[in-house]
Amino acid sequence: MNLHTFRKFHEEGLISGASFEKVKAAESRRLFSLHWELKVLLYLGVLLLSGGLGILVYENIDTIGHQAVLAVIALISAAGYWYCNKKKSPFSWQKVPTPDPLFDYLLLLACLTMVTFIAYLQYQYGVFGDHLKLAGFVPMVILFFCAYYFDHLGVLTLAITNLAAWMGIVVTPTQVLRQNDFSNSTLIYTGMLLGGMLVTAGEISAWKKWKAHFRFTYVNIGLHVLFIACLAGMFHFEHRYFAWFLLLLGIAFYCYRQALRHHSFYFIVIMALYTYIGLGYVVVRLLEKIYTNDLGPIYLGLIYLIASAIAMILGLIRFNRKMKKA
Amino acid sequence: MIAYNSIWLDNIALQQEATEAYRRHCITAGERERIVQAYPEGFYTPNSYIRIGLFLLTAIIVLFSLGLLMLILADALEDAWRGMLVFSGLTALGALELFIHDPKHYRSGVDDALLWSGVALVSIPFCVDTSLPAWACCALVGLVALAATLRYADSLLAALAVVSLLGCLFYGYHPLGAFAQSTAPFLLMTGSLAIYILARKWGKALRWRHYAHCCTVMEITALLTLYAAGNYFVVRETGNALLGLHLLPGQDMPAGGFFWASTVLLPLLYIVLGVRGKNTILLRTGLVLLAAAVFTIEHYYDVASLEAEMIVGGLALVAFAWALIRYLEEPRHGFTYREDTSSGHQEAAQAESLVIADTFPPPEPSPDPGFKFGGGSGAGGGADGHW
Repeated sequence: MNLHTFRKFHEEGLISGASFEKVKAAESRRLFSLHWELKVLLYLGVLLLSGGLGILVYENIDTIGHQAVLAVIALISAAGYWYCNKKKSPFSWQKVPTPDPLFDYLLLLACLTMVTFIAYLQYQYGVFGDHLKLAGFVPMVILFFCAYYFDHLGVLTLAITNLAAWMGIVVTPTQVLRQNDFSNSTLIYTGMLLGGMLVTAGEISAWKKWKAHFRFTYVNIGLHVLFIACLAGMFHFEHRYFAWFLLLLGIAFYCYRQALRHHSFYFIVIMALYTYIGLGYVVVRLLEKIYTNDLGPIYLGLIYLIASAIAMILGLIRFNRKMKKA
Repeated sequence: MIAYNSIWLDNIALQQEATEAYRRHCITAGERERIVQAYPEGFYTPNSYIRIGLFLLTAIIVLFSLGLLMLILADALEDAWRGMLVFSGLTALGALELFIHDPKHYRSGVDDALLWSGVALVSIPFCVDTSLPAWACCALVGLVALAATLRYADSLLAALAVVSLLGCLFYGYHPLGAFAQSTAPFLLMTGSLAIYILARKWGKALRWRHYAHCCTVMEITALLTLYAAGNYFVVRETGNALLGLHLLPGQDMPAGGFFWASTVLLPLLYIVLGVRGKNTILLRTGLVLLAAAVFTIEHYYDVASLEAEMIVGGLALVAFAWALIRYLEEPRHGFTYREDTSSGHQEAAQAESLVIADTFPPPEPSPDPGFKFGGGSGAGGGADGHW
């Protein structure tokens, strides 16, 4: 806050003398915050530590030391859980404030080492036998439990990515388009199922007030999975693409209602972008049918894509105005 | 000079001051409302998500229009593609002027997309497949970026201008002879330092107040180029690639000691100066570059096995951060752990959870006996994919 500015406001009678004094006092007491720097350092520390332990286990898998390594990992995980359990505020279905800055990161470390530990048990001792699905299921359940018990959004997101991996889908944000094989119809159906489950879970969280602040995480990931699976369905099932498109419109409508209800600009933008892609595909397919061999459909397709993008822009601008007034 | 209404830009700054004061409970809601009434602005600036959407859609329009134009003119184009691109770029910039003039777009996504694509389309024909020397390309891009920065106060273009200017300096200087080759890093370091000092000065000047954010980005860019120009790895590899030094692995390069010193000491210097001057830019740049210094050492010396380094480094980071957080629980020497403002907390938590999901992918259950299990592989990576 610039004192000159507020002196001017005061002289112009825009703010009272008492307010100006408050500004002056606040500015003289102003502190330099290292909040985000320290948080990032903690996060990097946890990242390095759990990554290093993972490699350590992997490197030592057939040596004498592996039981010692296993013990160390179990110890770190247990110590992390013990600390978090001691420090945590009593459980509530509402949002619970974090007891101290270290809590979030130690919980993350405990959860990550727990996942490594179970994977290691399965690899070395085959505790789950041939039930490989179970080896993915157990850590996922523990992660979901921790997310609710300790109220941690990051662990919830980890649990969701583990759930998706257990069902056979990669949903980590930067990998979702690269690592999934969308020409596989099972994957598309699984995606629809997973997306539907996540959105439902989000809606139930909000409705029953079971950690209502988890809603956004569930619905956000769920909607992306639904939209992407729908688009993949349109591209993959060539003859039934229109049915998938109708499904896409249905999801888009739900997304639009969500956006209106929760005043979310974010949902309106993803709705617009996915719908633009789906609609563009349908129009290009229709144009292909009308014309056959010259450049006509390409011209028309390009003109359509330009015109519809302009229409989308106007729509978004109008929507933005509407939301601001509301 | 600046395309946007400068009174409105001033008023935005005043409104932001008022909002901050309101958030810190210094002024009342009524007082903030009075300030907003007294200093109005009429720009069209949407919510930041809408801005991203508008940006993507505008970029799509520019790309498809370009495609359409190329298709129509395909036969006539042959050699005229450069002219066509420049023409398209100028058209985009013309459209930008219209959007700023009438619907008063300001940081709306539409103006950002038109500006960046316009500058790219105007510059690309001079840089791709040309007979122009590299320094002339850099100079041209630098001038275009500089002019666009002055007119539209865009911070990304300010960074582009700094980088192209330094590139022009480097490509123009190093072919001048053996002396020039060996002193090129020092020239770049001096140039970066000069830009940093100027940007700091301009950032505080009343005359350049609408460009304060550009100056911030210029400062960061100059700090990064200053470090890069003195980094052992960068100097050695550019020496090998461009200047034909042909150093063998293990062979030291001329003035190697100096470059090792600047590789390690510059980040520390940034951090110390940042803490002493309470300068966030210096501090954060220093912290990021400390990682670069570690990677540089890692590249040339095998200090310990990777996992041992990761575990020790991780423990040290957690312990250091934890100790400092405990120490700063009560504010000391003007520093605190507490957050500056409480705004946007929920969104930050959501973004953080996505970063976590991205850096710790779940282990893949696979029957293959050689399977690797996770606990976190891969580094960094933002959540940019879906945010």
